[in-house]
Amino acid sequence: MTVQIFDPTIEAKGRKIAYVPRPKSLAGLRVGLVDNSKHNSDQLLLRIAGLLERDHGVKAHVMRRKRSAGVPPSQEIVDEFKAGCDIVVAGIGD
Amino acid sequence: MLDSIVFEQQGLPSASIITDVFMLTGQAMARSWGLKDFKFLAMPHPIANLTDAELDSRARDITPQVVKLLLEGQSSH
Amino acid sequence: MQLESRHYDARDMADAMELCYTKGWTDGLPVVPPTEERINAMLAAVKLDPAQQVAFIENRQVSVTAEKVAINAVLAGCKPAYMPVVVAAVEALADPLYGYHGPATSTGGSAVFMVVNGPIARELDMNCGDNLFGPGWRANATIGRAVRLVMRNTIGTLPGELDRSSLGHPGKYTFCIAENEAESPWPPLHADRGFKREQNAVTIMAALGVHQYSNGLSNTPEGVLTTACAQMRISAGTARRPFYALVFAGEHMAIIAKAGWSRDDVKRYCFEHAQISVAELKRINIRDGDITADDETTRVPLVHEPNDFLVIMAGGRAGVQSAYIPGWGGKNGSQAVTKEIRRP
Repeated sequence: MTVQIFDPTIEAKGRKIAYVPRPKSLAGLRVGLVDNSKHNSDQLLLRIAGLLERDHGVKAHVMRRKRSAGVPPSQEIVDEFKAGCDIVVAGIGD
Repeated sequence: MLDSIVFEQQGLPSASIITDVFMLTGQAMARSWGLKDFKFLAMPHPIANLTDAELDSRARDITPQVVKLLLEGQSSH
Repeated sequence: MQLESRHYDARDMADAMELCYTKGWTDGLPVVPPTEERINAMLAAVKLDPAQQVAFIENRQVSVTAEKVAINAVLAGCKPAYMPVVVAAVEALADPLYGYHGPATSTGGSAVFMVVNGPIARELDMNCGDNLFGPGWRANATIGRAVRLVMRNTIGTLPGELDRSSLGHPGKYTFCIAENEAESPWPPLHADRGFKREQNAVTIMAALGVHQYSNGLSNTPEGVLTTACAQMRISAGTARRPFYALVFAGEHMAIIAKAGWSRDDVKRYCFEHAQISVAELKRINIRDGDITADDETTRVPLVHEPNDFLVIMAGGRAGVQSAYIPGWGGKNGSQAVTKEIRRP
């Protein structure tokens, strides 16, 4: 007498993102930094931005902090970066 | 933890940085989003108790990888 | 009803139980093999189509269907009558205020503390008394377990991958109680959170372990709560300001009731008396920085506001023990959520 059992798991469907073309260089670009609110994330992101500006021609940076590491960036942050940044660096941690 | 997925969907070249103990977690997250080969960066864990000098050093180490990911992106073609 | 999930064949029930283990569908304890008949009984109990979406977990991009909830409810050992509670709890998991990712994935990981209110708790013979957080009641054990199995199997919250809790705690097997509504001097918890007494509801809170405290000397609410506050003041949620659950068992409940204190009185007292100075936070290495003169007198409450205490009357009639349960993270990361349990 066979017993048939059903699978409680799912498989994620593959997704395609139409990635925008990459810039040829970072010179003159504005970087948006997303601080995930973990201790020292902001310190690291600012240092990275500093190096991007000093050595790679990035023009300016702005940093915004998420209200918690475990949530996605808020619509406000997304809208602000869409309007005012060319590249984004987010982190740091989990 | 992979905020770069959100920003790439919005048309912004992006790089997410995790800490290395979360490599499997980041990969599982990417799979969960249907993007199993999604690239992100990792630096050594932890970061919360680093000195200023160590923070400087970490930033110096990761920045070239940030540049590479921003300029190369996700596609492998 | 047409089920869409993949299926596998086993020789017999014993073999099917082993197969569930091999496939990684269990929490380490044996599960009930999810056969079509049992799954359909679950779905019939809530009159949901298998393909009906119960919840969408945004951060994981996972759509949890009624079919998947039903399968996990069978695995957990639920009776079909429990399904409405499980469905409501899964809906709560998806609420942005609960913020699924943080509590589920964080190294400081949490369990899902569940409180069931309303007439359904009695109908399902849920425990709200002796051995409150312990074993022995099918509804308590399997409803909480079903929710965890949904998290594990369907949402993919697996240890080492998307569940990085360093220590975990036993509440991650199951962590579900009812409130002692019959003997409590107050309206039930869900009525304090915007629902009508006669409605059925489940409240979930991302929670760390249960901290029991004893006080057999006091006969006033202030006396009992002083003990609670002394222990809570420095506990897992200190300086993070998550929600806290306060569970008062029989003898302490009687003391509070006799003095005529309201739930708000308890919340306010604990808000005032579980505060800690910034200097102390720095001394015990919870906050960074050198101690300034101001720090000795600057005080930080345990929670953002008194309503972030979930005050619950439950536990055995005899005993001078009550408990507090720190929430996970902070209020910005996760909040307690209450959802109505809908009957079909």
